[in-house]
Formats: sequence, C-alpha cells, structure tokens
Amino acid sequence: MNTSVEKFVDDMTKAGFDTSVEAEVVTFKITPVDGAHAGASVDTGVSSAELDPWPQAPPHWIHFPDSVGFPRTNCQPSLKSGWLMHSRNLHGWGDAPPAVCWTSHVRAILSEAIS
Amino acid sequence: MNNHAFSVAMTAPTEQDLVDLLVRDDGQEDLCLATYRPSTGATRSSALIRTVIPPDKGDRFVHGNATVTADYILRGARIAQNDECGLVLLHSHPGADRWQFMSGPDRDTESSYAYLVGEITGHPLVGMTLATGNSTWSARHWDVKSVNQIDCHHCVNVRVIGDRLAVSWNNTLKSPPPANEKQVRSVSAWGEPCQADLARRRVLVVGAGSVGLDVIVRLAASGICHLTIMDFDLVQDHNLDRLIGATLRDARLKRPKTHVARREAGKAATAGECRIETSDLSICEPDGLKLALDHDIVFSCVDSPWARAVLNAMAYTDLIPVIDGGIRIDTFPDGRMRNAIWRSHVIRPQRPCMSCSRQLDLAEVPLDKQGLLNSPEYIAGSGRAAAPSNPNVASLSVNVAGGQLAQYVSFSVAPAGLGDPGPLRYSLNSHFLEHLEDNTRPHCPVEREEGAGDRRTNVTGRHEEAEKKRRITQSPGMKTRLLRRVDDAIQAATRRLDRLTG
Repeated sequence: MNTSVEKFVDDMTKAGFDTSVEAEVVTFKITPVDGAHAGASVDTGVSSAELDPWPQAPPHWIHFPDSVGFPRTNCQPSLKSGWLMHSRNLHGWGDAPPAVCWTSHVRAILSEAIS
Repeated sequence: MNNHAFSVAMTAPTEQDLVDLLVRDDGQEDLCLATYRPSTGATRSSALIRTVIPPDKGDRFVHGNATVTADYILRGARIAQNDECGLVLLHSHPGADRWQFMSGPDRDTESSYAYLVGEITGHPLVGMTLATGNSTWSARHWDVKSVNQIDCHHCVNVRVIGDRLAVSWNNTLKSPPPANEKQVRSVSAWGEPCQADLARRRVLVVGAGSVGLDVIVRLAASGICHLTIMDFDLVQDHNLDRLIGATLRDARLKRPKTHVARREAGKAATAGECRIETSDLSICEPDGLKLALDHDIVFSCVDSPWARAVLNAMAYTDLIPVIDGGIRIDTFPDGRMRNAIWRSHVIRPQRPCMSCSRQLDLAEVPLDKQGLLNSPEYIAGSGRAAAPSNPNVASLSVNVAGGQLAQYVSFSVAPAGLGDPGPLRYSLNSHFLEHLEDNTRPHCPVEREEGAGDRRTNVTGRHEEAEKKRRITQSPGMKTRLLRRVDDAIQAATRRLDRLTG
C-alpha cells in the first residue's frame, strides 16, 4: 500500500468504516438513508490509483457492484470484477473532514439508485 | 551535492516566537531549539522551521554568551525524531546587523553536536544566528559524512514569509548585483537595498501564455538576475492575438512558449548578468515540482486545476509564496460581452488557499489528471457542459499580469510598511476594485499541511499532455529543424548587433 492509500484507510477507519483492498480497489460498506438501498449495507470502493492526492483532492470515480443501478450514469468497468465505476462530481471538498465528505458523497449518490 | 544550495524558510509567526526567545531585555545572547522538515529541490535544500522548542530551566546557561546543555540537545533531537524532523540550534548575536559567520566557539558547539543530532534524527543539524540589530538571520546545514568528517554548508538565504517576504542574504554566496544606469528609475522608486534584494530572488513563472509572458518580460526589465520559465506548451496560431512578441514564424516552427518567453525576456533584461532558464516540464510532474522548490517566489499563470492544485499546495507545504491571478470573461447568449473580472492574490500561510477562496475546485483535480476535462467522449457521457472556449483578449489579460505584479511589489517591497493586500477582484463593467474577505475553512485539507516539506501529500504524477507536447517540440521534423537553425542564426546575429550598438 502506498502512503495515500494508508491515509485513506486510516481516515475511513477513524470514521467507523472497515476497509479492505481488492484488485487495487479500496472497498468498504455503507448504509444509505434514501434510494433503492435505503437502510441496507452496500459495498462501495475507490481505486487506489485515484487516492494519490488524498486528502488534498478526492477521487472522482465511485465503484459499486454492477447490481447497483442508476437511472442515468456515466460508467466504466472497475478493476474489481463484477463492479462498475461511476463518474460523479463532488461538491464542497474541504467543508468537512475528508472521510465525512466522501461518505456523504457516496450516500448522496446511492440515494439516486433504482436497483 | 556540489553546487547544491541550502536555505531556511519559516513563517512570520514562527519567527516572532523565536525572536521572543532569543532577544533578551538584558542584552545578553540567548539560544533555543526548533524542529524542521527538509524540502528538497533540484539544486537547493531548504529547512522549513516547524516547531519551536523553548528551553526549560537548566537547559542553557546565559553568561553574556549562552551555552547549551547536552540534555537540551537530546530532548530536542527526540522531539524532532518523533515528528520525523531535523533539529535547529539557534542563538542570537545582540546588536549585530548583518549575516553572521561562525566564531570559533559557535563552530565548536554546532559541530560537536552535529553527529549526535544527525544520528538521532536522520537529518543534518541546522545552525542559525539572529543578528538582533536588524533581525537579519543567518544559517548553515551541518552535513555529517562520518564521525570525523562534518561539512558546514552555509545557506544562501533565510526566508521569512508573512505579509511580506523578508529575505536575509549571505552576501558571500550571493553578492548584491550592482544597480546600473538602466535601472535608475527602478532604484529611485524603492532604493538600492531593495533593488539588491529583489534582483537576487530566484523567481519562477509557471505558464508562459498571455499573462505569464507579460509577467516574465516585466520581471526581467525590473532587474531580476535569475528567472526560470516553465511551460510545456508550444506556440500555435490561436495564441498570437494574446502572446505579445510571438510571431507566426514561432508557430510555424513549433517553438515552445518558453523559447519565445526567453527571447523576449532577454531583450528586456536590465541586470548586468541575467540568467534566464527554461523548463518544458509541467509543474504537475514530480521533476517540475522539484525544480519549483529551488525558487524563492513563484508566479502562477496557469488555469488547469491540477497545475493550480500543485502550486496551491506548495505554497503551504514548502513555504514558497505563489502569486496567482486569473481572468473570467462572461458573454451574453448572443456573444456580446457581459463583463470581465480579474483577480490576484498571494497564496501563503496565514492567507486562505485557492480552494478556500473558491479559485480552485479540488474535485476537478482527478478529472484533469486523467485528461478527462479535454475528452469529448467523457464530456458527452457525463452530461457536463462542454469546456468553454476560454474567451480572453490581450487588452484585458495585461490587467491580470498587472494585478499579479502589483501583488508582487506589495509583498516584496511593502510600500509604507503595507505588505500583501489580500485577494483583490476587479470588475470591468462597473470598474470596481474589491478587497475580498475569504477565510480558511476549518477542514481545509491544504493549509493543514503547512511546512510538511518532503512529507507532503503527492499531488504530482505523470502528465501525458506534457509528454505529448514535448515530443512535438523536440521532434518537429527535418524541414522545421532546419528552419529553426536558420531562425536561431538570425536571432543570434540580431543579438550581436544589439550588443555592438548598445
């Protein structure tokens, strides 16, 4: 693991999320409050390569299992088999601690999920 | 490490803490310790002072002079080690008023602890002296080769970054360049000592476009002796309405923008010996950042989020002030101009970073890094608005250069004692100049890395666009290469003629 991945893992752990690294994707589980998965635990992740500037800049692509569907999305295959990575803009980076900003962003994206 | 330079940098609040410890009411010498982080450039290593370690009772003895105890040194070295820092041993010379070289006892003290400190911290001991007569600092790095070989490298300068950039110079390593008849008007504006200070500062201009080129030429004209220009781009036809000095021939010969900038700066330079270096690296590349770390002050004349993020971070992590500016021209749907707004500000500790002042969206950095901001396929798929055509005109971009240069003069010269004025914004349609009240956000991820030095978060990486542009300019084809040689010969003949008539 490079230092930035360690920093991300450390930040997420402090925020109460257990992480693991598979196929160069750092994954963790999150529970959205809205959308098709409201109240359920959903797998999500970010690419290790995108974590180089963490916490100075956030990743852009959010990885989900391909069973998580959105009505409209710009996505590409993830390095993790059976997953897709979705392009999503994050607003307000730096307004809250990095892990809080990132998990709020992921929850907001999941609130749009339809499957 | 031959020809490698050494320096020390600190913020004004840190300097104040040190002065409070080192300057005594009874006029005696005193000493204290501090930690530092190294900041390693291509040809200069800087010690960034991080934490002051005040002496406890019994840590030093003051008897006209001051004597440090081994216990204090050991305590300081352990604190430094725990924070992955090196150790600085500082003392004062009451009443002195210039760069201080080492007396025999000073040399003995510092050299005797250099090995021990180096072993504990893994970094050279840095010694510093404060001449209290006019707050001039001097500094040296003690490079331990072995127990018996400890080299003392005197620093070229000590930089204090506050509402102005105050630089103490080692005149032996960097002598003040004599002002000449071409600089009479400049010297009469701010005086000879100020001219000698400004002329010696190593200045980097990142981006040699419409704004950067103006800045470069005017810095050269003002007598700067060592100027570096960084840009990986080449001159193209669509640049010619703003790149003053660039010609159609430059575009046809696929000349790098740095080539034009060096040529125009060379024509304008007034220093007796003006060294103008160019780099076709991007500031986003690791070697580009390393080169930037050799400089005392940097102008940001780029608009890419990634490049701006690197410069924004460097201002805090490596205590190198960045003078930034930009222009935005808005148009009505029918294409007529609505307004133009230009801004300028100094990015430095104690001022909000570009992200906190909403001049940089850090979330755009990964997109820029991955080349997606210029990818039509990505933009079409993402539903983002297509990249604007970046309207800009030469008659307005000069105001951005002017704004940045005015910030530079205030930050360097502090007219009437007033330094960096803070962020400024000028609105063209109302002709209104506004002082902006931006504040640091409590969770700003950039400013919290102040003084991190070589342990900074790595925002740099491989820059494919820069690599592509370098390939074009370096391998332009046989015909272009030949024409470049002819052009070079013409330029050289013109320079010779200038020298003969000058």
